[in-house]
Amino acid sequence: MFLIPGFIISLLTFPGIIVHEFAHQLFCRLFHVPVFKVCYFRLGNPAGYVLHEKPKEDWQQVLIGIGPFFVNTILGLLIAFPAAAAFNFHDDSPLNAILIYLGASIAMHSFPSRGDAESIWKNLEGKTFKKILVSPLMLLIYIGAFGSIVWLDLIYGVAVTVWLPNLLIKSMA
Amino acid sequence: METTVTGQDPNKCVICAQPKYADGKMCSDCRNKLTELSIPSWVKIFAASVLCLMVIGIIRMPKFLSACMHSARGEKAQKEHRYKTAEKELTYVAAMFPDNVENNARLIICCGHNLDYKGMAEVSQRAADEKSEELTLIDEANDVIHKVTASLPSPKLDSLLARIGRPDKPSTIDSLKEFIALNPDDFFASFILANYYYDTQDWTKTDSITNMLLSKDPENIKALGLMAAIKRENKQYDSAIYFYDKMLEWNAELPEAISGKARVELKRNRDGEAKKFAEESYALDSTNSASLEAMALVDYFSGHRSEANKMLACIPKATTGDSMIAARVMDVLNGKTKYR
Repeated sequence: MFLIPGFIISLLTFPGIIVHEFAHQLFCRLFHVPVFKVCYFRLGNPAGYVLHEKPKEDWQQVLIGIGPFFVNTILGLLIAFPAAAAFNFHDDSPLNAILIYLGASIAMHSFPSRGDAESIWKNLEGKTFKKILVSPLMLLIYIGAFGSIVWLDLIYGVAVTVWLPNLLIKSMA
Repeated sequence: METTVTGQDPNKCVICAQPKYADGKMCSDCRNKLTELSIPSWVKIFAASVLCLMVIGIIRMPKFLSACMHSARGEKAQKEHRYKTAEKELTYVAAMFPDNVENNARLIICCGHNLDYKGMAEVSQRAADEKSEELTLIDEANDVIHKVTASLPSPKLDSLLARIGRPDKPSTIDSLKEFIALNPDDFFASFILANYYYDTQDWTKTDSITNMLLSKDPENIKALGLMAAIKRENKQYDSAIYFYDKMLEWNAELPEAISGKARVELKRNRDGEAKKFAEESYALDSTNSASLEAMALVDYFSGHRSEANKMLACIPKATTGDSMIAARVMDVLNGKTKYR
């Protein structure tokens, strides 16, 4: 497997990390959860984080944790959509290349991190039934996190920015 | 990553360390402040830059999106062998991106299936020397060009026809037969001969030559059309429909085949069915002489003489077909020929 140090990937795809942390922050705002600190990007592990108060409801914690999946996917798709349509006609102008890069780097950071999963899990301490309910989600998050070793995040990013726009166009046609 | 904050002195605000006067771990001032969405300026600038690029992309998008939609519709229609629709959709794309090799290759395939040789020649000229990675598509387009070229008069045959004129007399037919003996693989020469025997109602010879042509190329649309006509004139209506359906397998929107079915149904007095097929063909291409012929005949047999004459008047202006069609329909409308 082709391995690249994590910080280089983070550096190359920093727009995705910024959007990922912003998505956590946005969901905190949505549920009126106070945010103490936001690190949108840094060259370290983790590459970004959001420090916030424990939400009143457990489901709010889950949504704050998985918020980036929705925000990054939708934003990545929206940014790349015009460029993906243009690429079909071999319009490889720099603007399209930038839009595809931005879209792909944002979409590839859609998966919640292991830290996000741990935070959701920790919040449910002593709540066995709720833990059972969220365990499939935990499994998916861990698959996504470990899948990055085999470039699952990049595959997802490319799928959202290249394959999905064409699929949408074909279904609209 | 996101982390929750818990713990610390339960009686003081975790932010300002003042005695708290609200629920939770913070005073209400700190809580209000921290629940606001505060975003640093550099993130705002970054977001604004991304937004700007996105807006430019969106402004440029309608042209590409429209082309993508037409292209997707064209590809879908092509897969379903609805080549008229496919050609129409891909022509829209060609108007926006005339040099797109993949679109031009698809357009060539569609024109070939629609017997639109003029359109095919135009697109081929435009697409010449262009390179593409879609080799299967290019091969398919080249196959269609090859097939079409093979079923058109060769330069040698052209010069013979220029010399002897229209092969409709026994003397000129002898020259044509000599030519075929020397050039047995010339499709068009054999096809003209079969047509001559068809016009003279020599069904055995027509049938034999057409069968020979079909054995060489079972999908040849001209040979299939002639075979269907032979079956129709010999009152083998189901066989005639079978051959028209074979043509429709090749192109589900071929007016020549659909209108052919209308003519078969008229022959066997199923005027309702005939009307349906004639209208379908006319809706697909109202400038096609075969569509106009079928409509004229359907109108005539349903008693709408003036409409039939209007259709007849349109035939000479049609984009496809030959002068024989108008004369043939006129003979039926004038009562000179008994169609059924």
